[in-house]
Amino acid sequence: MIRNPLKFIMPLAIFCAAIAAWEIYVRTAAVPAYILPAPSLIATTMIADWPLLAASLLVTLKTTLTALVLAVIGGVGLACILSLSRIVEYSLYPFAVVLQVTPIIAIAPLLLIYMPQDAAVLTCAWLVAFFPILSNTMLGLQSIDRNLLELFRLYGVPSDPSRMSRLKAQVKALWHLRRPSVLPAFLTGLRIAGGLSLIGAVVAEMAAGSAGAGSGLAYRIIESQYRLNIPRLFAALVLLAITGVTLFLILSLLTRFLLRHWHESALPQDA
Amino acid sequence: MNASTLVSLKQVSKVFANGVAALDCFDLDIREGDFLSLLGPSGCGKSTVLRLIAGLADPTSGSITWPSSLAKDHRSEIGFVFQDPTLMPWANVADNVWLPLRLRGVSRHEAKDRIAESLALVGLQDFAKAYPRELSGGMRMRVSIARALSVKPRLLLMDEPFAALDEITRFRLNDDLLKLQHDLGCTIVFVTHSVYESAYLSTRIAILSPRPSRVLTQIEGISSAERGADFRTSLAYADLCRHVSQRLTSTLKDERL
Repeated sequence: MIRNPLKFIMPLAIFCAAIAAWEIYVRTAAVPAYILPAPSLIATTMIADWPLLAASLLVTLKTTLTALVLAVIGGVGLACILSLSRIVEYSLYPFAVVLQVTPIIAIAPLLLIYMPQDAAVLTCAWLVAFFPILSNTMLGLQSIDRNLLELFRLYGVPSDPSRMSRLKAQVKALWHLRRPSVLPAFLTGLRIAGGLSLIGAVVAEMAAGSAGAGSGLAYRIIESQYRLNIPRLFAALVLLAITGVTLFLILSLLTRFLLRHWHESALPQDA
Repeated sequence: MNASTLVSLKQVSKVFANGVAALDCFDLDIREGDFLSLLGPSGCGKSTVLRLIAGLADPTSGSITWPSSLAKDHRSEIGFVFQDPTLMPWANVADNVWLPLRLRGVSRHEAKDRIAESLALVGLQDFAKAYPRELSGGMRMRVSIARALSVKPRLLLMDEPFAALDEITRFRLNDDLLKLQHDLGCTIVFVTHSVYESAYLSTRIAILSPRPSRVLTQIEGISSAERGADFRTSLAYADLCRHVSQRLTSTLKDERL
């Protein structure tokens, strides 16, 4: 699949060059560590502070992943309910939009009053991640091939009109037709939601801003800033960036894997 | 020619919810073993006739009966081919053909022979594992036909199935379809707006009026027994085309288009 090694070598080379330039600049200009720490110092801080940083990483990861899972359940569930009838859609969808367009940091202080801190942070992250899954899944559900629906009506609906058998036919259509055809749109939503759930978790942690053993990476960043421990701030930042990239890569690979046979987006470019 | 009537449409009207009258006093008998073409201008309600026969829509008035059968629901005896192949892009060819049986609760293992048989009928036995996007337009249409054949239908309804294909592919599929009907002995109702296609395929051609549609006239085609080797280039075929074309223009002239 990898035809062109330059595709990997080039970005890697540029990245290494940028790190080297940073290191050289900090050393030659003698920039103090509390303004801009050298990459080598960030690395040693990462190793020295690892127990502390790892615990915080775990907290943030847990919030992010739990929020993402809950967003998938809530988003897909609500999309299914909304797609059942237009009336339900008209009455509920505006609420989802209001929740989405309100900047989440503005809701965070309220949530912190209403809920325990952990739950408030989780709710924030969930609110941010939930909407892209909902709207993309709904789009997918609404754009199902009408002829295929007819086909399912022709072959799928049983002759006896009892309620039970009709429900069975609907479940069959949901599983065999709606589930696969909604998949590409859902996965697009999931990739966006993956990044957003991390942002939501960080923003909520910053708003919560309380100390303690259960505090995440965002809290470490604020704390390091107050203490002018800039190397540790950078180390936490690096961990956040790596988390975001890893999440994105995993979700992209999942998308590729699930759509590999049939969807244009998952096919090799030169096919 | 005195075959028994398979489906009979009597005084059928269909008015859509938006007030458009698609059919008005539509009478048509479909005989067992027919290759019946419904020929008419586009948008005249030809597809509506098929949907009514298939039970996908209900007539506003009039009756659709199957005189030879007592069962109330005839969907198990019908195969439907749409204008588009309408395949599931996420499933391979074999799974697409399996769909009608699958929806009736037939397992993949039980359906294996039937799938292979249907694919062999349309000449796609080597493509069972391929995905629709890897196939050409003509091959996709063959898969769609194989899917309709997998239920062993007594009546095959085809809604302009070859309209989007190039001429070379269309000619080949025309021949294949005639052979299929000969081998399977099913009845086919074929919607088209091509005079030449209807003349080539049909044992009977029904010319429909513009909306609200009814049968203006019926023309007997040339049965396969009477056909020579090169029917498409034969004089008999040219005469039939001219005849159908004349009847179409003369009947449509009286109608408001």
